[in-house]
Amino acid sequence: MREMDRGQFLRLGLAGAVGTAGAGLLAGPAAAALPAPAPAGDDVGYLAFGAVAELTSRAWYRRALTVHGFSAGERRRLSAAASAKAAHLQRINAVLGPDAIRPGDFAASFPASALTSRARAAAVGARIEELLVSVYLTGAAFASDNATRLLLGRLLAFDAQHLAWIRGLTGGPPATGLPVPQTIEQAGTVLDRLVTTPNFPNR
Amino acid sequence: MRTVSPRRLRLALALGAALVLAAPAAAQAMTVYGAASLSSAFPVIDKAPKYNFAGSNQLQLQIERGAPADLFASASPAEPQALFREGRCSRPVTFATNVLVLITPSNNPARLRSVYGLRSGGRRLAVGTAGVPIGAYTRQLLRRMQLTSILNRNTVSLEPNVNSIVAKVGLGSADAGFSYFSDYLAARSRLHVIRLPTWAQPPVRYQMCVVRRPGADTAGANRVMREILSSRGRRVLKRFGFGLTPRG
Repeated sequence: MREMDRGQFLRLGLAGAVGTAGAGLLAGPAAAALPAPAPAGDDVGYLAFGAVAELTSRAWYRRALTVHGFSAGERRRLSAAASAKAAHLQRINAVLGPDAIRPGDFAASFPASALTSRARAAAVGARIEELLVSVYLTGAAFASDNATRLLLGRLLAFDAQHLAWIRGLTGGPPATGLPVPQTIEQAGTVLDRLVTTPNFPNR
Repeated sequence: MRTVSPRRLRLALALGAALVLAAPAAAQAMTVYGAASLSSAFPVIDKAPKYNFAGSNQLQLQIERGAPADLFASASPAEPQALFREGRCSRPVTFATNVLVLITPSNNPARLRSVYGLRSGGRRLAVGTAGVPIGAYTRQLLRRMQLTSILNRNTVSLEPNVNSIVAKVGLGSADAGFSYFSDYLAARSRLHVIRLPTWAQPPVRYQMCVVRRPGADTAGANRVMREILSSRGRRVLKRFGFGLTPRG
């Protein structure tokens, strides 16, 4: 894992603060007003990981709607979050261009027991959101391109808000702070347990 | 004794010559231009055609220059789609998928346990050129994994197709290389495999199309295409380590 100096730490803290403060502002028009990101160096990695994790997250929100135990209000929020995730994916893919992640490229694969109850489903949902937030945090601190960093910060803001909400569903305190920033390598190991390549069962 | 008029003699000679010239053309097998990674599976599906296996980008170039291909099967949609846009082949059909793996010689002399081990540098790495599908897919995977720097930190040999990568690694001339899973399977006695993360896998799609050129054996190409898409063809592809897309 990378070591951070004081400046990087403060920048990371600032990214988190900006993200949390800006929660809920990631509406379509706001996203459209972003300067066009031009990912450089390792920036594509943050976005590609984000796209696959957003795809997985969208699948979770959709599947969670079939789980018993969520209230009508919670279902409305699950549904809205699934739509927002689709918008995130679209936004990231627009930046990725030829590297874009298409829905048919990956399929979410949740453990059989993961969607048998509201609590178990919420735990899986929280894990996915934690992955997204932890990688967006790292990206917001280390991405080379300013506009890409801003995009990652905005995505972080939205997903931090949802993470707090899902944590509330699991019965825990909703405001337990942001997860520890993670590298693609660390987060990828966890995400790999939740995705498959649908047209390649031989692996 | 009957005499033959010179006119009849000339006619007979011309007819004979035409028959002699026509015979090889009729006997000539239809020609399949296929991605190097298909070189083990295709002859098992149909041994009759004449095959020319190489990097898909090279084959595309040859077809554009009028090479006598009847069917073109590529490891990526880019090449057949380009030929289709140019009016040089029929609408491409997806017939198989694959995933990327990292291969090392079976004794793994560089003691690699993960692709991230290549970050320390100093290894001999076999990678496809940027133009060939295996090379393009490898670079896409490395961008996603934030590992493009390994191409500078290691001694990289750029290979024209996946068969060259497998040969180089299998012979121990490279410590590691990026290949398709199916190519590892075909040479697994000489290789050790290191899986690459699912989430970072590029979408490897094989497409084929019937080449449009004067004198092309379109009927023969369509027949071979049907064989590849048949249940038996799909079983063979699966046995050789390819993935399959849903029918239709």
